Amino acid sequence: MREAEEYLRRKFEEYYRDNVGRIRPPPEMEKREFGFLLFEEGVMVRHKAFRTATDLQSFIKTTVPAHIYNSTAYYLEPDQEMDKKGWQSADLAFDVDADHIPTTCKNVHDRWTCKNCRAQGKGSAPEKCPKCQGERIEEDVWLCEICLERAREEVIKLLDFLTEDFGFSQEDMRVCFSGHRGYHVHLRAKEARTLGSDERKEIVDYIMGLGFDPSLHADLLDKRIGPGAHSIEDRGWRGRVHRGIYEILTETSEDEMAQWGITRKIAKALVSRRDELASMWIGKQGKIPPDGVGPVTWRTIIQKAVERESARVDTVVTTDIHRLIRLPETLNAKTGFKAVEINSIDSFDPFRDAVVFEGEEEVYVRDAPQFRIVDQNLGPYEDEVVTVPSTAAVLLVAKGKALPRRD
Amino acid sequence: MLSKTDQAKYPIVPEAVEFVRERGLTVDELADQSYAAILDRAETRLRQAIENGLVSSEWQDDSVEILSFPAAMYIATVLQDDWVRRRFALAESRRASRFLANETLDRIVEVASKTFEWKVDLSETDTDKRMPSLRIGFKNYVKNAMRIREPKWKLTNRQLNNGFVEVSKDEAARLLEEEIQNRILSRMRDRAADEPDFLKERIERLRKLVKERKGTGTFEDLPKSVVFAAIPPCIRYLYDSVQSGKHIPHVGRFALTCFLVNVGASEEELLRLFKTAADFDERKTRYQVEHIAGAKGGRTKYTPPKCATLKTHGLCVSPDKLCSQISHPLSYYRRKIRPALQKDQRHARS
Repeated sequence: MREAEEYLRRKFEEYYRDNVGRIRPPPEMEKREFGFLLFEEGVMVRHKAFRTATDLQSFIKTTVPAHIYNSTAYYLEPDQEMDKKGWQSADLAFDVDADHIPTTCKNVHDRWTCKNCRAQGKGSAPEKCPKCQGERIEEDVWLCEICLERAREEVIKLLDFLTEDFGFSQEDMRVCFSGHRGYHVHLRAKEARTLGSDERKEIVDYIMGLGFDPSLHADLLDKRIGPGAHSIEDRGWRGRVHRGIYEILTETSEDEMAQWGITRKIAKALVSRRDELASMWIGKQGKIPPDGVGPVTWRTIIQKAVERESARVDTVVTTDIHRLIRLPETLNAKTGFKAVEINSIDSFDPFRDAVVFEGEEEVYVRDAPQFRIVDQNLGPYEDEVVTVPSTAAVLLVAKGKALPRRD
Repeated sequence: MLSKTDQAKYPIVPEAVEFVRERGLTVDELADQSYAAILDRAETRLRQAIENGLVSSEWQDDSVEILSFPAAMYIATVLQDDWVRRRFALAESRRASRFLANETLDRIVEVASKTFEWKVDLSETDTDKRMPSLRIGFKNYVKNAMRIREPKWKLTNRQLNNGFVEVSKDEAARLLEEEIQNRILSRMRDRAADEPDFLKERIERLRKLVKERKGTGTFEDLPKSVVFAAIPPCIRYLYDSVQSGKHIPHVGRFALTCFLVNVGASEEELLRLFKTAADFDERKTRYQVEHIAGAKGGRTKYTPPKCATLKTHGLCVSPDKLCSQISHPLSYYRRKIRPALQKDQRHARS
């Protein structure tokens, strides 16, 4: 393992030697706390403060940390211990992570190992080892295109909430890729900065659709919905739920509905009348839930529409007003990819835009699934020595799937 | 512009505060017999607050009405009783809110924006009388609405558009009530005052009233050791998880520890509990427990997160009937052990 760590540190050193100037500290950097996780025995250095970009850059260049963070908060004295820092305000931050989004491909590329009995399995780690009931389980998660794509979709939904519903302007928002499995959104507008933790909690609840009560949204539960009263073009949750219901009416299969607890008979009726129902739903002639669709089924459909339209964010990150968050243009030691600020989320491609290393290298790969770097498809590999782009080599070593070859 | 009568209705508005400041009354001057009317009304305000939780909306003289408000706040501060302060803030804010509900929309906008710097204006979208008629900046909305428990106040159940929440006139008055209550509380918070002689009688009368009102048995004091049967389902779940060696998220661990510290668990008991956890680290756990109990670091004693926060983090597990009546796990605990305690006390008396 030592070999892999030394290799990564050497690659990081190389990157920071040439690129440290790209690191732009966040605004009002002198009020921020910086934190660094070092390669050496995973030591965390916290409560650091820097006055200038140059100070920060030269610190990074000399220490070569594995991970680099700064506080979302602004403090009077950021280098003091927590209780003495003098909290002033904090950027409003969101974290969208593939870990929180269920995808079926996790069963293919993610793995877990019980630290106790070494039993292994595929997919997300279970709470308990099925063999020995042990709780200490090591997760081996892959940087997967499908998972990242799902996370990107959640970010797009989140941005829509923030601009359309909360009225934040595009210029106030910065979207960053974390260099691993997620995205961060930061808001630095004064209005956002002065929000307390409880207020942030309400924002998170809204975005996740928590506590949504259909009886409080005009007409959603009515047997007959007045012509043109509310529509998929409405703003806020009302419109979102209407859009969600429309999508469910047009897309959901009978089997999936049955899984939600809708009876086969009703599910069948909904699916067979799909086109008719969908066009009625968006039409102006009024909306009548189909015959046989009682309040229980209807509430199930509404609940699923809420889940569909909500954005899955990490509740802890947003409500924690002392959070450390990854600094853009620095490397993530879980992958060797860089955290990067995104200009356009619609066209962002992590496997192209977060890649930093150039050239090719030879590595010994134990095993690895198929993946892509820029436009080159690589793998799957098993127990072989291969020559791959340096970025891929670093990724495989960082993920513990390969060992560097000595020069 | 707000008239003198308006200021008497809403003594919290800047115009009324300015009126009081201009008069330049000091505490010593209040001792003068000529100000007895002000002190009388101030005492009445407090009496009504303590007795009814609502200050009456009738008065004789505008100036006396305005001046008696800060005088009542002063007396409430002198009383040094948290319950009285909260009760007074509630009663005054409810009085103001009743007036507000009968005002024009423009007047509500004026009070909200001038006194509390709300982002608020008339809603252009709806003319229908049933429909909301004001738009409030979401921040002002959330800050106040999150203290009201009914689901209809939850932001998720509101029409939120471009940073503004639509509300009806009555709802705006209700939100302002929260804002006023909070303002009154914070104005009393950073003051401490001695008990001047000329207030002695009035204060004695009020103290007596408070005592009657609260009754002899305040159940604020919890038993010294943990009553397991009174622990709410969410904490129970966390507790059982830790005991069976399951991994629980950091927020959950924090909630559990805080809760148990607050209901009288000792540090040793907590250490013993966490010892069963798979990733137990005695040094770290001891530090965390001591920190939460207020012995280390900031010396603030933490309270567990409220129900709403537990819900956000997905930690509200199998809520029961009592859960629907409370908003904090500690209230659940207090409510549940109250009958037991009462029984004990009756027993002791007989």
